Formats: sequence, C-alpha cells, structure tokens
Amino acid sequence: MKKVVYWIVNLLEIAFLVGAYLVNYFTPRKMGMARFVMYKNMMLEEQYSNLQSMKSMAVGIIVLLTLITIVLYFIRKKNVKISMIVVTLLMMVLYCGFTMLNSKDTYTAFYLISPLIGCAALLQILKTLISVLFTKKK
Amino acid sequence: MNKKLVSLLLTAVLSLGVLTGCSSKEESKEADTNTEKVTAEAVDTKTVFVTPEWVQSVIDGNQKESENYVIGEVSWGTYKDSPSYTKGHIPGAIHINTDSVEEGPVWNILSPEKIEQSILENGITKDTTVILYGDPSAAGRVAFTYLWAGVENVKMLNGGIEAWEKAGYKTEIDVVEAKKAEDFGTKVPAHPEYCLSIEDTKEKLKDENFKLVSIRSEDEFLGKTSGYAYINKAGEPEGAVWGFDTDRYVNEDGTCINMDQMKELWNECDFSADNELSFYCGTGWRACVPWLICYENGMTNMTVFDGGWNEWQMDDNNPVQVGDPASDDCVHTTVGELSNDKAAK
Repeated sequence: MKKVVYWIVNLLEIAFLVGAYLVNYFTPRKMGMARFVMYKNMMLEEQYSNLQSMKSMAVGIIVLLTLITIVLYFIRKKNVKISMIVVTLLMMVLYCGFTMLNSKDTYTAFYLISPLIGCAALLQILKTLISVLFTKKK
Repeated sequence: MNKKLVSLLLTAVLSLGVLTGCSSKEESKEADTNTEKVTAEAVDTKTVFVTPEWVQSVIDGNQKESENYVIGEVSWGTYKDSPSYTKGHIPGAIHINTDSVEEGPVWNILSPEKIEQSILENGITKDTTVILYGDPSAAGRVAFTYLWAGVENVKMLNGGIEAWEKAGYKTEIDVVEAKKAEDFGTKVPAHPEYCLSIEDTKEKLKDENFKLVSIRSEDEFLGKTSGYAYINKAGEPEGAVWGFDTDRYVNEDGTCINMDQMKELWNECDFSADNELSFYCGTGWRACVPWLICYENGMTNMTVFDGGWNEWQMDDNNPVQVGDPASDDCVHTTVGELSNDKAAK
C-alpha cells in the first residue's frame, strides 16, 4: 500500500476515534448536545425497529473480516508486520466489546459512538487486509 | 527560676490565646450584626419575584420563611457544568439541575413519582419555602414544576446572582449538599390544573375564548426556523397566537417585568388577560415566565402547554400554521407536510 494512502487511513482512524471521544465527552456536559443526541436516538428507534439485529450484524461483519485477515496473514506466511495484526485485533475487540456490552442506557450517545468506533475498526481491518493481500514477502 | 519562666511563658501563651479568641469572636459577631440588620418587607406566599434584600433577610432570620427554606441555583447539568455555581453562589444555595424536573426526548415534566423523589432529594417538602435563581427561563421551569407538584411557597430572586452581587451581598464557592427530606406532605401533583397536555390542548383549541400563546421568537412563530438544532420542522400549532419571546418579559438587567408591563405588552397581541390562556414554547422553559407573572398576580385562567412545539411536531397528523395567521400568506397544513430543513443552525 502506498505510504501516503497508509497515513491518510491512519489519520482517518484517529479522527473517528477522537470524534467518538468528543461526542462522549460533550453529551453529558452540553445541554444542546444532550438534547440533540436524545432526539436523534428517538428518531433512529422510530425509523429502524431492528436496531438490535443491525448491531449484531455489524459486529459479525467486523469479526468475520478480522478472521479473514488473520487467516490470510498466516496463509501468506506473515508478510506484514505483526504490529498491524495486533492493532487490527485490538480495534476489533474495542468495537465489538463496546457495541455488545453497551446501549443508549449506558452511553446516551451510543448510536453515534458505536458507528464511529466501527468506522475506525473497519478502516484498520481493510488497511491490514489490503496489505496482507498485496505485500510480497521479502 | 525555671519554674517562674515556664509559668510566665504559659501565662503569656494563654493570654494571647484568649485575646486572639476574643478578637476573632468579636470580628465574626460584628459580621453577623451587620447581616442581622438586613430586613425587608414581608411578601405574600403567592409572590414569586423577590428582591435580594428579601432573600438576605430570610437568610438572616428576619422573615417567617426563615424557619424552613431552601435556596437553589438552577441550571442544566451538574453543578460542575454550571457557568456560575462554583464561581460564587448565594450562601447555602444548592445546585438544582433542570433535568431533575423534566426528561427527554420530549422534555415534558417527569412522572409525579420521579418529581416527588427529586424534590425530596433537594430537602424540599410542600411547606418549604423555595428560593430559586438562575436564567429566568430555567429557574422559571423549576419554579413552575415545584408549584405544580405542590410546594406552596416558591420564589425567584428577581435579577438572579447579578442582582445579588449588585446589592453587595456575599457569595460562597463551597458546594452545598442538600439534606434529603422524607415526606413531601401532599400528593404530587397537587395542581395538575397548571399544566395542559397535548390532548387537552387540541380539545381546548375548539373554544374561541381559549388562546394558545406562543412564547417564541418571531422567526420561530413565522416558521422560518424551529429554533432548535435537533428539531427539523418549523411552524406553530394551528390556532396559536404570538405572545413574544422571553426577551420582552425579561429586562436587560435580568429582572422580569411586572403585570402592568405585561398587560401593556399584550396590547400588541391577539389575546388579553381575559382569555383562557395557555403558554407554550419549544420545550417548556420560556412559557413558564409569563405564567409565573400571571400566577403571582392572582390569575387562575392560565396554563402551560408542556409539550410545546417539540411534542406537537412529533405527530405527522397534527395541524400546523406556517406564517402570520392574520395574513393571507399563512400556510395551513399538517406536520407531515412540513419540510425537514428548518433546524436552527
């Protein structure tokens, strides 16, 4: 993967994680933010009655992609740095753990935070997967 | 010789101690004497807006309310989120979170059980005199809810902490913990008639003498903006009349206008104090200000439509007016037909 793309993806991942942190930080501290989040929660729950299954499906996709990446990593004889695999695993655990163990009752902004962490995890997985697929072992 | 020296030293130390103790006692007494001088004319139980002098006289024990009172600074969030509580509040004032009386996403008053619990947690019963201050809309929202619940004597410091400091009274920065009360003393709500539900509002709108009064900005009333970042639709319930935003009820110094000034203001409106009135705004804060002015002046023909525009625009079938209802350009439609691009930027 070209270095510049690699770093852009890294920055995007950080941006998603910082975004998740900021949303979580400001929701209980700013009235406008709290009200915005609660209103959006209500709209989402009205619009999508199957949020629980969507949550499980998203977690399933992230786990599956991570497993594929790790399996390919071993098939292709460890052609990328182990640190990439470790970070990918950590991101997967962070997303799946947060999403499965929480809800809007534990984090008011759950419906915003979870997708933001999910995007960061997805980028990390895709970045690692592409590297595994296209990097030749030296 | 040594014994003499020791006894001399001991005497000196003791004398110094006694003298220092006396002088500090005298200083604190002097301060107490100064505050004990603050007296103010007694006010009626129904009076809501009170002066800093009256509040200080309550603190000093010079009012009948001095026996059982709670002072509360009102703002959204915890005391840490308050822009002013930790910088200096009225001595003895607890912090009251507006979320202790209402709940999202509709932001209507909490269930009677939750209200009773939150009031008791603040050490308040129906017989406690509650003195609130803060942003007039926020403090007004809590004052209204406490009156609705059954607290008999609710006051608001007219002009808030600015008026208090201007009057030269001291503030403190220590966080004050409320002492929990056990028994409220009456069934909550003691005055359900102060509040109008959305169903009742729809029914009342059929009555010509009933006026649903919008306490919102002109742009909100005309449907140019919802007034809120999280509400996408703009307009007003069909049949509403405009009663101006709170900037016309609150003077520049933060004090609220009186009944005469309010009646004069209403000369420009399509309703009068003789109508049956129900005030509403976006989520129920601003509407409480004119309601409290009416209340302290003995009016009984007014309510607060708690849900306001926020609740009204949640049902696609609700009838809506967009524009000045007195003009031919006013659009009469339903919530479902409104565009979704009117959230406040």
